[in-house]
This record gives sequence, structure tokens and C-alpha cells, in this order.
Amino acid sequence: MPQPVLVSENLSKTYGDIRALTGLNLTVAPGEIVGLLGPNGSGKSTALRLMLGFLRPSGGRVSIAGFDCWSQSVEARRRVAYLPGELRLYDTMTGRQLVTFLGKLRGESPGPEVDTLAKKLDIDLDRSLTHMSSGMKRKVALLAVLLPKVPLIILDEPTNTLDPTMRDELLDQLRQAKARGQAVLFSSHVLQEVEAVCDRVAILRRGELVQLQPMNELREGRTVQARLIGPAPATDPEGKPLPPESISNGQLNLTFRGPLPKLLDWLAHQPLVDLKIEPQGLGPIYRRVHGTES
Amino acid sequence: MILILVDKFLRDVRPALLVVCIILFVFAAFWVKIAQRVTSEIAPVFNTVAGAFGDKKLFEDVLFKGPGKVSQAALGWGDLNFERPNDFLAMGMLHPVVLVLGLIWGVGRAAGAVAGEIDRGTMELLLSQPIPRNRLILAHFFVDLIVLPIICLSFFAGTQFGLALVGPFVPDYTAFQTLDGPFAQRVRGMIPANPDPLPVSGLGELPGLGNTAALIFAISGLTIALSAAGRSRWKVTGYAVLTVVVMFVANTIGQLWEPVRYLRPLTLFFYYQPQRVMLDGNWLVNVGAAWPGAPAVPGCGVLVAVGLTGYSLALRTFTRRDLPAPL
Repeated sequence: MPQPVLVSENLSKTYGDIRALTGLNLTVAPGEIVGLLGPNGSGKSTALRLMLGFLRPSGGRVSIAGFDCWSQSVEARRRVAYLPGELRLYDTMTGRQLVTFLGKLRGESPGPEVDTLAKKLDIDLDRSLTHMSSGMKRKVALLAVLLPKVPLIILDEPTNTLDPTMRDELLDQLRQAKARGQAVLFSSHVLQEVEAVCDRVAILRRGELVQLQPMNELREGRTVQARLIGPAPATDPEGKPLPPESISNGQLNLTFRGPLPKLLDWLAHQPLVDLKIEPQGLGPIYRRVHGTES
Repeated sequence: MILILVDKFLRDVRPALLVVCIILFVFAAFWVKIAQRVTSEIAPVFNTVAGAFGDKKLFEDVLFKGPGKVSQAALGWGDLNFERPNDFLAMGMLHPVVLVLGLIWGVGRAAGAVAGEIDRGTMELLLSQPIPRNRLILAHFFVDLIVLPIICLSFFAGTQFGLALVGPFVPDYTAFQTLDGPFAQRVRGMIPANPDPLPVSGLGELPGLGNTAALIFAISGLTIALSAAGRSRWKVTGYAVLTVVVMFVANTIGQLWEPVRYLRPLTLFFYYQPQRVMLDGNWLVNVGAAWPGAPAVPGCGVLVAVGLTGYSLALRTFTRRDLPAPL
């Protein structure tokens, strides 16, 4: 198991009486994509800002590649590329000037890969940023984030204002970053894109990490919804007692992690009409966690 | 890295710098013309008439009574002689145009340096790169070191341009030639047949403008200290302008009203005396005039020290504070 790139231990941030983040424990390994989910005010951006060294932790610590994000902030940031959620760029520059400027601050001079990536993202880098739409600006900023080959990429709601094609392109770029061994941590409100690329998802609620869900478990799982016209089964496909909340008003609601033939075989012996089987997504988990809030 | 930041910040201020330099250049050149008009056309007439009455200070006393005294105090013209071109040129450095531009420049740039970047949201972009926070403040310090001499040199260049344009300051008495009567006869008897040009040289302005640069640096230092702790450019601008204006008013009232004279050394403007530097080469400010027994101190030194203290505070604050999300 490789050493994690990012380690957050009991990370907390309070503003007076307000607890923006409480005891966040999270690791991100090289080549792993982790999604941060949660509604507004759940602490996602605070967590990311602590990782960038913008905020001093009120408790705990967070480190990137072994460097403390507050006391060794420069070394930590040398190993991170960050896309802010509230994106503001220097409008007096062209896209190319911005990318070059940010590259120089990292001690790098961007090479031909700039134009290759710009072509993929469909950006005219020689246009002034002031004449670009917010989506175009975001693409320029994304390009600046994807260029440096750093161990960790942090993105705060990266697909905001991107059109569907560019959203797919971004997700593809994230997969490529993962393939190169880069770790990616990104926050989002969009469950589908998190499901599409993430290896794990961390769900925050009111500043607390309430669920850390490996996506492969979800991908193995299926939700079953069916209407019963006879007696309800006593056991599930594994032969374990069926939880009482699975049956209500003649309706079967079941989450099953296991081989599909076993599930189908079990269903064939039940008195069913109307059957729906879906891969288990983040939706039910997210709604369970935030159901009372959202 | 610091050079990259300095280069970027210099690019940012370039349009504003150009405007300020042009205004100062034009103002300084125009001020030379005013100086020529006052010292070689108006003052000779008034002084000749006053001399005919046996009181050479007659008009000066009348001019600087009441409200005139206030403006003289406010602008620090108390020691200056309107008849001498160099004195009049020195007043240019004390003129409200120069002071206001200095205030706008010092406050505007420094307020934008940190608080402005935060409320525009570009600070996140900048500090997500591996830049130590102190380098950001130091880069702004170097920008001041580069830009302030340019501002002052533009004023100096304007004066030299004006002097080259208007030619020698020869006293002009033609106004008396059309007058008639016994008084005019007496006055004409006092007029030199071929008056010599008045001595004028703007070169002394150069060290005097060092004092101007020091004043703007002090304002900049004070503002950047506020900026490093703030998150809204306009709030920082408001607080800084208020502080500087209060100092200006306190210095002016302190000159007019003995009981509050002790306030003057607490203001930046007490240490801003470029006319003394220009005319007498005197860099010292007599603090003892306001605080009996206190020694004279170099005015530029105090202003530079204030600026450096501001930058030090900014360094301390900015490297310790949380960076809030953009407004």
C-alpha cells in the first residue's frame, strides 16, 4: 500500500462558536480519486482551504506528501495543483500569459503540452481573459491545474459552468491523472460525476465526515424495488433474515451486494409483480445522510 | 520568484502609474509658469508699490490674514517667500495636487495589494502556488521602491521641462509704464532700468522630492498594514484615507492653535518639509517646536521608518492570518 499523499488527522476549524469542520480524518493515496460531497455549508471548502494552507487549523493537522499544510505550507503547495470554487482570474492577462505566469511561480516554463491540452479543452489561449465567458475561464484555470505533474490535484466544484462535453473531457483528464499516479480530491454537488470517476467518496454534514464510502462497494451493489402479491419473504438472497424496513405496504425495497444470478434466482421464487433492479448509486446514501436537510 | 511577482505587480500598476506621472509632469510644468507669473510679473508690481509706501511686507501681511493664514498653514507655506522663484517652485511639492495624488497612489495601491486581491478573489489563485506569503508583501515593497522614484522624477522632469519652456524669470515692470501722476513718477524712479533675471533652478527639487517619496512610502506602509489584515479593498481604503486626513487636519490645526501643537509630531505631515530640503538642504525637522526639549529628527528618516514599520506589521499579520474566501 503506497504512502498516502494527503493525510488529515482530526482536522478541525472553528470560527468563534461556529464549527466549520470537526475532526476530519481522511487519506488520499497516489492514483486515487476521492470525492467530497455535501450541501453548501457542510465544510467541503473549509477542508480544501485547510489543505491549501489558506486557513490555520483550530485542531488536528493535515499534511501533503508529509509536509504540514500550515507550518510547511509552501512545500505542501509545491505538491498540489488547486482549482478554486469561486474562480477569479487576472482579467488583464491572456490565457497563455496566465498559464505562463502560474507556471513560472512554480519554477516551470510550460512547453508544447500547453497547446495540446488547450486543443483538447477547446481554448483559445491567446484571447484576453476579460473577453472569455465564465466557462472558458474555468477551462483556462483547469488547464493551469492539469499542467503541473504534482502528486495531488485538488478541485473545488470543478465542473461548475462547464458544458456537458467539457465535463466529460474533464472527467477523462482526471482518469488520466489517476493513471499517471496522481491523487485527485474534488468537491462536487453532482452525484453522477462523483460516481463516474471516484474511488471513494467522503460525505460531509455540518462539518463532520459522516460517510466514507468506497465506490467499488457501491458498484457491486444493486437496489431492488418490487411489488408483492403474496407473503413477504423471511430471508434475503443470502439466507439472512430480511430487515423489517425492507417490506412496507406490500413493497419490497432491498439493497443487495452479491452475484446477480443469486439475486435473480431468489427473486424468481418470490410472489412479485413490477420489478426494478438498478445499480446502487450514491443517491440513496446521500439522501439518507442529508435527507433531513436537503 | 519575487522578480516574477514584482514584474506582475508593475504590469498591474502601469496604466495608473502612467496617468499619475503625466498629471504630475504637466502640473509641475504648469507650476513653473505660475511661478514665473507670480515672481516676475505680479510680485514686482506689488513689492514696488509696497516699497513706495515704505512697507515691503504690506501685501504679504494682507494676503495671509484670516483664511489666507489657514491655507498657508495647511500647505506648510509659512517659511516661503513669494518673491523668490525657487521658493515658489518649492511650494509646488506642497500643493494639494501633489498631496492628493500621493495619497491616492499610496492608499490605492497598498489597499489593493492584499485586501484587493482577497476581495477580487485572485489571492487564492496566487497563494495556491508555492509562494511564501512574506514574498508577496516583499514584492509590493520592491514595487514601491521602484515606482515612487519614478513618480517623483516625473514631477522633477515636469519642472525642468517648464523651466526650459518659459525661459528666464526677468522682473516685468511694464504695468507702471502707462500710469501717470506724482505717485507713478515716484514708483518709476524705483524701477531698475534693466532688471536682472531672478535666480531660479529646479535642481534642489530632486532631494526635496526624496521627502515626497518618503511621505508616499509612509502612507503606503500604513495602508498595507491595514490591507494585510483586511478583506475588503474599499474598507481598507476608507480607514487609510480617514487616518491620513485626520493627520493632515491635526497638523494644520496644530500650526494655528497653540494648545494642540503637541499633536503635530504625531502626524506624517509634520515630517513632510520638502521645501526646507530643497531650499536650505535642511533634512532635520524641529520636533522641539511642538514638544519642548525634543531633538530635531530627520523628517525623511521618520517617514521611511513609518513605512517600514507598516510593511513589517503587514508581514507579521499576513503570514499568520487565515485567508478568507472571496467576498
